[in-house]
Amino acid sequence: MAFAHFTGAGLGPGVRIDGAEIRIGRSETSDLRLAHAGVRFNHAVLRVDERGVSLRAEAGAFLRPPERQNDAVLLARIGDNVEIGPYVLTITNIETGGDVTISVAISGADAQVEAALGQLHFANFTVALPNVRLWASVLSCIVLVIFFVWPLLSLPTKAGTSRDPLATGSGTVQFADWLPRAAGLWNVGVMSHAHAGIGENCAFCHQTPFVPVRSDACLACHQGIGQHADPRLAPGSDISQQRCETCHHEHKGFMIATRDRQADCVACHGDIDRIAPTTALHNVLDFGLDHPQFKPALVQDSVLRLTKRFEIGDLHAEDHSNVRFTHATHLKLAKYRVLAGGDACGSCHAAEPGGVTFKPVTFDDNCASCHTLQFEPLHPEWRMPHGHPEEVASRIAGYYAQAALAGEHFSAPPTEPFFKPGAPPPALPPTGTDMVSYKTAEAMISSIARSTCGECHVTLPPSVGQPPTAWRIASVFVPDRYMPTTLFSHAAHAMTLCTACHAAKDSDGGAIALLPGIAVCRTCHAGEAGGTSKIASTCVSCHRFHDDRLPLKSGGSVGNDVRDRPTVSEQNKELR
Amino acid sequence: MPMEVGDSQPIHLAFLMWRRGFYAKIALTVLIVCILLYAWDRPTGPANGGTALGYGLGVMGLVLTAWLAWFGIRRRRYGGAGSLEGLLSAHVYLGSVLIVVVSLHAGFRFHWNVHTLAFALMFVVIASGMFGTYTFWRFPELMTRNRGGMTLTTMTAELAALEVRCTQLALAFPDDVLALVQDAVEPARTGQLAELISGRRQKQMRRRSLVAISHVQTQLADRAAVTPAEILPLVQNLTQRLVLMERIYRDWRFRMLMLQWRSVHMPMTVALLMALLIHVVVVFYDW
Repeated sequence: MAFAHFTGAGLGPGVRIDGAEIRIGRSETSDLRLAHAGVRFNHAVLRVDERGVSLRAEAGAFLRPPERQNDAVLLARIGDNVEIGPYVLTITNIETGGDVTISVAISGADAQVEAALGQLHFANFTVALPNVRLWASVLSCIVLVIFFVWPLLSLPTKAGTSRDPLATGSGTVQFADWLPRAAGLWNVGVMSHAHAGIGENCAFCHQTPFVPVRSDACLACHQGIGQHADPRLAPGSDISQQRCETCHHEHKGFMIATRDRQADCVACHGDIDRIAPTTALHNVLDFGLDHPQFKPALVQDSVLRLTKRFEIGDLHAEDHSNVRFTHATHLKLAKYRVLAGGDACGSCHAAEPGGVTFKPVTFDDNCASCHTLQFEPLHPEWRMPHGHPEEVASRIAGYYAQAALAGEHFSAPPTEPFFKPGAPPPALPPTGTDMVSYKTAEAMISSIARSTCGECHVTLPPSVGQPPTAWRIASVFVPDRYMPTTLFSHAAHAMTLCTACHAAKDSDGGAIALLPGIAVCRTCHAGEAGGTSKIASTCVSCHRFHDDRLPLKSGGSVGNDVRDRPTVSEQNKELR
Repeated sequence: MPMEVGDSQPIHLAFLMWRRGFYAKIALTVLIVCILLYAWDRPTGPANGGTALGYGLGVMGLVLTAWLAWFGIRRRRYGGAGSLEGLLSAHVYLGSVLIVVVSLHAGFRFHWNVHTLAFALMFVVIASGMFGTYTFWRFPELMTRNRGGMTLTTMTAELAALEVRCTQLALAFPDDVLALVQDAVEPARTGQLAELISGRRQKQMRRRSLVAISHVQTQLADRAAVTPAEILPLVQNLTQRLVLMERIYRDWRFRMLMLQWRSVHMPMTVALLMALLIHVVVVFYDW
């Protein structure tokens, strides 16, 4: 049994400890208690045996010199030492029996300096919490001032709110006119392009604080907005008491968000024949599944510009636009055949700016290069004027009068097809004024009634009592829209070939033969639900909701027969 | 390693599974119902706070926010209605759901305005709260392991002892060595928040220690008179000091993060309530 004798460092006369293991630490139960904050509660275990003194640190504690792995600090000779915290344990004597004397000394540091340093470290590593209430108050005040007070002060006052939509934004008065405007900080979302000019003049529409925008604010500018249907004929369709906001939402992006659910329309139009028994409209549930065939409006009277609706495919459809023209005849010509696809169409049909419709086809631009309006084989440079039938006779007479003055003679027409033997010789050609009036009458009758004019125009013979030259050309009216209740845009369909919808090459009929039926649209468009590879199309994708002929604020001054759709000409005026 | 969730839950985490996750289930239900309603709804134009569902979600978000913020007052009161543990459970789970409810209310449309400000502040408040919950879940164990049974007091006392010893040992070396050792053991000030973000002083402290250690070691190569036995104690002391210093620093970081998230959470909550009030007033001012 070996003994360890400890001396020094407040141990009085020395401590003699025996035992296989001597536990060193701050703990009162330690065999050797070293009361210092730099020593662990259980710091190390000391063994005394024949090799000498060995120390092994407890988990997490340090010894200097440090023990190596699976090894201990070995103190074998006098003078060997080990440090435990601030203490230095030194072998001062080894007796032959294995007893050792170990001096315990606080290492030379000034304990007070060390303690002060420890306190400084402690303070440095203490977490300091900020004044949370102060920061809460400061942040709230910043939010209040920037996001409430500032925009409020820079709002236009009621008195400064101009009702002129073109004088908005910059010219309005605000409470504090030296402030930069900040009403945008209250703006809930992007304004539509259409209303962007109103700018930050919120009160232009939001007229009374805490009161929803009233329709009057909208109708101040949008004066022509109409009812959807005549409330007297379609009960329940009166929208004059509805707020515009019910269907139209501002601050939702660059376009006004408009209510477009098919179900809203089908609620009435799915059962329209029961709701409005006098209507000519068919029930409709879904564009893709249940929608009547298109009924283009065909011209019935080109003078009065009256139209009548015929279903596509109707064999009895009548078109009295009074032009004899077929696409089939023209597209067989070599000059069109060499042009592929839309190029052939584009040689006559030029898009309007914006591309919704096409510019009207005119004789001068589109026909005159082939249809030269010649009438006298001896003088191909003589042309009839186009578009002014009242001038035709005088123009022709003028040409012949000029020829007569120049002494030119034209052969007399044969009175009989064949010369009979024995008959009197043919009359001499007329001369002078006789020649002029004779040749003029001849040209008028042959050109207008038969060849030149009649090739394209419907021509009307002279009525009883009129001279035989008094042929007339029937008035022409070619509408640029045949589907009066829809808002079809060619520009929106520019990615397809013309011939994908219009069978022009084989079209030898009028407009109705050229217009595509609903089946053509349905190759790409389905109802609101869409479908496999189909475009979801709701009612308002093609149809207008408001009817401008039924003023919203009319007080009953509605036309007598509003069930008839607008005539094509009216519709064209509206669309322009 | 994360703690096991269940009966072995430590007491400071018991709120997470309060009554077998009662509020977690409620929050999940609210989440699913809101998402389904949003998916089903077909408003005119894009989804936004002004539709019927938008108003509904907005009112719900407002009530939730007010109730969750009230927890900050309730937790300071002793007694009162409801178990505080249950309230904390609701605070954590319903607060997390709030971010989805309000995103759906806004229809995911954000602009530079007071309305998005309220959303941004709410996001900061919820994110800081989630981080705080994470620190309570994860940090105590990491801190215990890092401290290795010591306290801040004992660690700093030991650090001081090591530093005094380092300086003493360095007295036997030339001036340049002593200057480097004194530089290395200079007490480090943490600098609080800036240090938490940058960690600049820690890197500086570490670099100085390593410079001193490597410089002391080069003495061996440079001077024939110096023996390993003369150098080793100083190198050991410097190394042990660096290890302990980094341990203390890590401990400070843990405590800092566990305490300071509330310095974001609370002021931002008050600012959020202000922005929310302005949001509601403004929306109906310009109805």
